[in-house]
Amino acid sequence: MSRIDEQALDWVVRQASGPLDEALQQAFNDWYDRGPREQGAYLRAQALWQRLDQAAMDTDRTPPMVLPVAEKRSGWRPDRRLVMGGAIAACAVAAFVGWHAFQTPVPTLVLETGLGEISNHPLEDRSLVSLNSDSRIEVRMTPERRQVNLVKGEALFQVAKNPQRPFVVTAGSVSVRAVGTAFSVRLRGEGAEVLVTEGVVEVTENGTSTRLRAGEAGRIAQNAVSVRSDPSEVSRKLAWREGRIVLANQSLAEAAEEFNRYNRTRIYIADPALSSRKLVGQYGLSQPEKFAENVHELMGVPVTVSADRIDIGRRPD
Amino acid sequence: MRGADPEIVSWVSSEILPYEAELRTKVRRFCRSAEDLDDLIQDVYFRLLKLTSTDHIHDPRGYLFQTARNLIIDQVRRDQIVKIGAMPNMDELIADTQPGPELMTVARSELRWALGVIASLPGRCQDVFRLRKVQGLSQAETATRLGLSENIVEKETMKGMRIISALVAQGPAAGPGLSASAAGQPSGPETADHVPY
Repeated sequence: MSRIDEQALDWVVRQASGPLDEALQQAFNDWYDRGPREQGAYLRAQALWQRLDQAAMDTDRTPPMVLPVAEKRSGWRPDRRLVMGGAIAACAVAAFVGWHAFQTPVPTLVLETGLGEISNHPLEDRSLVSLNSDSRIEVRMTPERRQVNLVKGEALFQVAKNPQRPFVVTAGSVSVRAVGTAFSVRLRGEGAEVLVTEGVVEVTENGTSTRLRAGEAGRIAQNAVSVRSDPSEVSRKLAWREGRIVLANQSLAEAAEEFNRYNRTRIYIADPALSSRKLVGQYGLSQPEKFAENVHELMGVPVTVSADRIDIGRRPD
Repeated sequence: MRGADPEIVSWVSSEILPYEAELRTKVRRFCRSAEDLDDLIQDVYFRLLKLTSTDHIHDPRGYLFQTARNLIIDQVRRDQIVKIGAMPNMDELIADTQPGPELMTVARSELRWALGVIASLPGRCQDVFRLRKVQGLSQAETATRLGLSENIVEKETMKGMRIISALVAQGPAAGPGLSASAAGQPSGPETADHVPY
């Protein structure tokens, strides 16, 4: 109970014992006029006091002690259980599309996912790969080296330790080298983004190497590597592995881009003024409609949902 | 005029208070702290205070939940950062507004409720409430009967009201009421620092 609630109860008790003297009445008036919270709490206190008067109906009948508190309590509570946090829809993990082993001198394993699909694969060295939506990798295992080429999208690797056989992921001009560690690589525009969750990786582009540690995010573009240590941001960005999109102060534009990575129904923000509004929340990957509905309700902006697109903000005529 | 229309007080007493604990449980996750939750509940009662009539309200529980919902939405809209993840559960909040049969029955059995609550008060406090509320004695009569000063009786009454107020807010003590641990947790998305594997 807050202080205001306690004060309200005290006032109701005082008033119930008889008329207030002038000074107390003035004190009450001043208190009551402070604002809505006092007035709301006072109504509640009055109602509570009155509710107890029901006990008087019992004077001639059952002695009060007959009714155990526990019995009343169990009745007073709704027994329907509140499902908290159940809104996170688990994303159905779709089967990956291609699994071809080419009979080349070194067999290449191709793994890919379609839009909205996420898949997990064990590799022959006991490393694990998770492929995000609309992604493709080629895996080549030689006795000296474990080589993965990220052709499209994003993949996360949990690398089995083997110092004799480095694990190298190339993404465009960027290569990421690990011994035993966990990290993800995403192709972004001309460059790539690398997120490290365990151990250390070495990122190389154009002959320049940078080391990234657990909790660090590296953005590699145009011969420059920017590194930021932000473990919560790293795990936020990897929430796709659990079928979720997590928003922690991302802009509406960034949120829309996230949903568009996973869904055929694309979100368009018609009103650029809205794009920078910051959002906090989380959704299943396949819930752009739910997201749009909430944007509509919370931000009070028009939202048009059709089969293939969702427009947020005024639709351009 | 200060204070509410007696009709509103009676209505709140019989139709709203029984659902306060349930409301608190459901809206807790939209509040950053226990203090925010108390503030919200006070704001809800303030809205009810402003009612000129309750005749048009056929489903008080639904009305209570809708009022809370509107306040939460107003609040969220005013915030710089839009806490959008709160919304999916808001749907549950309004979707589930049919009073269960059990709750309806219980809401009517105010006698049992009042007696049970009084029986749960500690010793002297319970004596005071029994005389005042069950026997209907005044504060002065209660003081005489118990051989206490009026001042002590008033203090005991205040103490008892705080206990009863907390009971109403929590629902059952054994259940998932507004316990210190649950209320102290910041609500909202908790995943930002959760490592996904």
